[in-house]
Amino acid sequence: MQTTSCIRYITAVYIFLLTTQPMHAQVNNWSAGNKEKQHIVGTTFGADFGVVSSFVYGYKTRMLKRPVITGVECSFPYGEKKMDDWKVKAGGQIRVTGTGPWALSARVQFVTRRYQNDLVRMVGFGSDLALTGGYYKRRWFAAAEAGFDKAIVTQLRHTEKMRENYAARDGWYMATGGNFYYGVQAGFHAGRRWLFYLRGGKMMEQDLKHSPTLPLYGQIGINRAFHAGKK
Amino acid sequence: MLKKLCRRSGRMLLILLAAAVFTGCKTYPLDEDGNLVPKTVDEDSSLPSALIHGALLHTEAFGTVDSPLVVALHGGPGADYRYLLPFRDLADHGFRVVLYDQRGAGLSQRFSRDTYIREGRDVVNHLVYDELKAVIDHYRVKPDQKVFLLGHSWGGMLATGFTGRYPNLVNGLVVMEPGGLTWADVETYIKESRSFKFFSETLNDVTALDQFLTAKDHELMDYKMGLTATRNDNTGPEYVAPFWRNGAVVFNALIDMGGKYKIDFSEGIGSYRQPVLFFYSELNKVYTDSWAQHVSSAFPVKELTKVPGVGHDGIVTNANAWTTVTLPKLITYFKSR
Repeated sequence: MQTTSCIRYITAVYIFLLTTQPMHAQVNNWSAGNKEKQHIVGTTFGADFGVVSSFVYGYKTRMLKRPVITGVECSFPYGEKKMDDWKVKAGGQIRVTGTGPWALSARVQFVTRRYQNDLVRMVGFGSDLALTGGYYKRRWFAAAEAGFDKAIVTQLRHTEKMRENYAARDGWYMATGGNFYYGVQAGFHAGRRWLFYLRGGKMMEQDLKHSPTLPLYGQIGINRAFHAGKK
Repeated sequence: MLKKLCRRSGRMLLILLAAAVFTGCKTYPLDEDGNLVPKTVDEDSSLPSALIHGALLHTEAFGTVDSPLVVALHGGPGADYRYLLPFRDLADHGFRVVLYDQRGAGLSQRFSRDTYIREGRDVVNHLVYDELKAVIDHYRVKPDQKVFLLGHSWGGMLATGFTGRYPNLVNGLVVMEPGGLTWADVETYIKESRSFKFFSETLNDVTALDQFLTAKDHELMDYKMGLTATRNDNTGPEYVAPFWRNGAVVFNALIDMGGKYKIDFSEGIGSYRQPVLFFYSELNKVYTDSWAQHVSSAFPVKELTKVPGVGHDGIVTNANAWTTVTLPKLITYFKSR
């Protein structure tokens, strides 16, 4: 793909993000705390293409008469080398429809990630689009989710060690990968402000034939909500 | 307020991205040959090759054509013979050294996964042993020309299996740290050698890659496989030796088929009465003395050599070990046959 196509793709994702103005905290109880604006901070631990910890910030408000969360999630895998690999997701989640305790939400995130080993350093931009549908009560919820995490464009920069093998071309590469995922999430509130949740499921590569080396994802997380004004 | 902030930061990111793409130069297609991995012999006619058993193989030979043949089998599945190039030294000692990348591996021609799967339990017989037989036939110029097999790791397993099938064809067999000769042993060895710590960088280096690169074609899968072949502290202190290109499809297919059909590389080797030269390394933590004894017990007559100060690949790739231990042992062994 040419540079123009690359920009068009990125622009499309961005425009979508900016116009929908949604989200983040990948897990939210749509039946709790909807009467007020909230800041949400949280942390998670689990498996997501490695053993990772993440930190979450979200801002819950209303838009188009629907609750939305915008925010950011930074995750870091474990390992001896700190900060050589990381992922930042920024975007939003909006409750699309629902009746009673039932709700369907859409999540759109722009993903920036970095990876480094002895042979290559990668910096990639992508998107993560997901739908979550479930049963949300004031004190607890259970839901199913399905999504697609796409690596839209990735910059590869190879090391001298790699060049001993082969002088692979440094540069930007389009559409280097993508993974579908589907799973479940559930959580409960302890008091008005604390949310404990679990999330887990399976991943498949975009060709639907191969699986990632770690084909499962799982998260245990905790969110704390802070009052930020009436809606 | 928030809306403004989002819009502003979004626009800024967009501008930065556009600038990065414009100034950071053009984008490259993943599927363009040679961008990420070297071309294979069917794509690059300047590489040494031969059409053998229905596949264009990357292969070359050194030494006088009618000297005793030493046919080398590389590890993997899916690796290449680049790290076995020290074997060329044997040509200076009166041997005809044959190096080749097995089908689907290194710089040899690629085939689809179905090519391997449809062979069923005969995949190794038809696509590996028959290929090796054809390689020998290709390079053998006279009927009484001796044939020695020299296999490292996976190559040692294949050399053993071939010798069990054609005991009268093989005048001498050298194996270097074959993981195991029964599939149960292979699985044990793989499990032990790849048992990364839960919170280790090594584990993360392998798993996190899947977010960036997913299966598409041979080029991308081979490239990705190559990126995970860096260091393995379990099997030795040395960095993985330079390689040209890995064969991801053949790797996955043969490992899957091996597991499904429990391929037994020791079949028939019990009737091979020639002494077998068996190397293993001191610093491969998985290849203990007891494991070497266990694996080599399949050979009725054998001589074990523990190479000091090196790991799995260092038996060949460590210059000191090669010149002071491995090479002299090989020369003595081949000349005694």
